[in-house]
Amino acid sequence: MQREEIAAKVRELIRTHQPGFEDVDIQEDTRINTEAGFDSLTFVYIMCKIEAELGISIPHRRWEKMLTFGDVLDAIEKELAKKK
Amino acid sequence: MAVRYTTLRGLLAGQDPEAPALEKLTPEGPVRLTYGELLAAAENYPVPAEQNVGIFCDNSIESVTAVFGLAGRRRLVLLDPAGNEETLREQIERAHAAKLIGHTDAEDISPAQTDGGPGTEILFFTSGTTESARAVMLDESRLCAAAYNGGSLLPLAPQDRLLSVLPHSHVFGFVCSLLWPLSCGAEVCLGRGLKQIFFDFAAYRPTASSLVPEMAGFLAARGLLNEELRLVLIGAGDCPDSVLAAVKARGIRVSFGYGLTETSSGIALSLGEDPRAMTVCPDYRLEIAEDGEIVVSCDTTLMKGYYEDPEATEKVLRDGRLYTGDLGRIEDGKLFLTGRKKEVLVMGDGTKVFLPAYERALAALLGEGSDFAVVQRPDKTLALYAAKPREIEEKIDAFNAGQTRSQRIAQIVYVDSIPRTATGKVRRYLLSEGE
Repeated sequence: MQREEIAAKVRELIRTHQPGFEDVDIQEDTRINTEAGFDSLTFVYIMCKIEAELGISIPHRRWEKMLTFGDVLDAIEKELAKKK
Repeated sequence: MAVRYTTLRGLLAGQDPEAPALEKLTPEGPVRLTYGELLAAAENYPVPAEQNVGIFCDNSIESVTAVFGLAGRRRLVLLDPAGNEETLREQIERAHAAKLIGHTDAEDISPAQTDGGPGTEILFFTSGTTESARAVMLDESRLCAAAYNGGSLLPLAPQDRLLSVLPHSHVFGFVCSLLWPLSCGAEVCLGRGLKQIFFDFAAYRPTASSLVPEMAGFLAARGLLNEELRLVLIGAGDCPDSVLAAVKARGIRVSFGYGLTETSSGIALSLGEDPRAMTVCPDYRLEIAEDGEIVVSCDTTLMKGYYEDPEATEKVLRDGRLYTGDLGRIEDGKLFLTGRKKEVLVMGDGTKVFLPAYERALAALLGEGSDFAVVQRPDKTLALYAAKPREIEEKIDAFNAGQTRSQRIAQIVYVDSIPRTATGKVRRYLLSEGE
């Protein structure tokens, strides 16, 4: 899966599962906390949905280090690469 | 009717040995232990040579068995395996945990080089990475008394199943999602960790649960609470009206609890329609000081003190009274909380931020001459107010990277100046009002 496809899938999951975020512009450098406004549980919930949808498991400690959506995409790419 | 126990294994022995005590869902299927089986496992738990033992409380049957097995035999420190790595290392050293039991995926974690002397206290750290974090010395007797106090006001039936999703390394999780149900003979369903919390209610079908406000609101708003759930105990921080309304709208009774680690958990619980009118637990006597501070006396639950910190102990525990730092009033015999005297913010997930230390860390990062203030918003997140015209987003990003998610700056607001008193103290309420 190419990075752009992953990004599109993540945007779709956020818009599906997080009410109020349907029209939010989510870019690689969008900051999860200060710009997107995700609280801690919302972030965990979305990450669970991403993992289930893509069939991957990102170590929880890596979640804590993510600041932007680009960081999320990096982690997904890394886990998808392990599956190959 | 609640029964008073003084030891953890005595508490297990007081229940029906055939009744279910613990359930854990695993990928291989459910694992269940009766009270008799849990007691036997605890009685036969191998006692290590070291005096101070750290237990990673991952809400597994193994970690629960370790605590029940070693209580009263060694000095225990309960650790959060998902905690910040630096914090974990500091806690292990400060508590002299020369032996570690259980698992964490944190890197470079090893037992303390120096063991403690003999003792049977159970240590709980009050908060995370701030300098205000202290190891509170409780013990079996105090924790059992806390369970008794809770069970007296809010009894569970042996048929109840309480879902335990809060970390047992925090006193609210340990007492209110483990000891309280076990002291009532109910079954404890052990949550499967953060990634499964959204699915645990559907999987276990509990009748009761103890939650922090952020969790309760999130789960209720998304319809993730199961139909059988009839009671939710909310603690570890004030609870927004919207959360209470969201849970009650599902026909679930909500009880709001107030307590401190220093009091082994609950001081008071709300039992009626008004969740903020709290009934004081039977062992407690409360006074309201002239400045509104809640001062607590109790013969059974107050901490022995902070571990190896008599100066800090003396500041809050004097003449058998604990000065809580919380503000309140008593009306018609009920306790109402009105605010916090201490500059400690309780976040949505129950963790705490010691504001002076937090702002000092930010000041070191933002540099000389930076003028800012941190304010907690009604939704429990943190906003940073900074005087124009400094652009600080990148520095805040770097700062956020070192914070747990609930303790990060969620919003930056640029203002003309930070309002201060004549003595230089920030007038935070003016910043919040300006939003």
